[in-house]
Amino acid sequence: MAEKLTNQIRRLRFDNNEMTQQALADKVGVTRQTIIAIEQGGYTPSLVLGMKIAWVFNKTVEEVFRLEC
Amino acid sequence: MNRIQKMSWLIVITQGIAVLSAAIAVTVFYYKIGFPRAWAGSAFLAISGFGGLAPVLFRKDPGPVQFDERDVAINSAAVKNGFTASYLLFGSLCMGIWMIKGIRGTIDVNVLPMIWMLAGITCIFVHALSILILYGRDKTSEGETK
Repeated sequence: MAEKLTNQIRRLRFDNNEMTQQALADKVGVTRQTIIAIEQGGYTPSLVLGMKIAWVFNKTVEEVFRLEC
Repeated sequence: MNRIQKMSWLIVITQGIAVLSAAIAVTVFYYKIGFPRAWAGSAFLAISGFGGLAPVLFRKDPGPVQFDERDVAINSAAVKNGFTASYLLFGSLCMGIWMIKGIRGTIDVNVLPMIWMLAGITCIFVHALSILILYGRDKTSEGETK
């Protein structure tokens, strides 16, 4: 069974005054490449990073990330 | 492309050129002057030393964060790949010689440092190559700004 972690980061960035990937990266303490990789589903972030991203958008982790089975 | 990728590219290119030119030189010398003097062609492996200039040539990336959790994960996987490849090569060469020469066979002592050096070069090469492959897998270098 293949599990896939999807996310709403791209939509949330646009909903938050079109926040750039670099701005989000600076806020959570990673590189822009990592934000791109997460948005594209190429990298699964750690729990800590996932929580930091959710906090930036004032959302819960479940509202940002979803595990699809 | 970040600094680590640029450094890896330099290492892959310089080591590729070094190994290729050394192999060609040893082959040419073998037909001209024969072994063991043909091993002098392996001096071309010194070209790979230019890979050591990578930290000087490539400056730090812009932005406050240089290395994050994804970079650590990729580097860890690359280190494992490099070690595995070099250990497999070292083991294969040692066992290969043993199998070819037999239990009571002998080899030139010059072969031993060559095997050791080959394992080291393989480790660094596979490490750098793994970094390029692992970063390139999700095509992040061509991502959008917004």
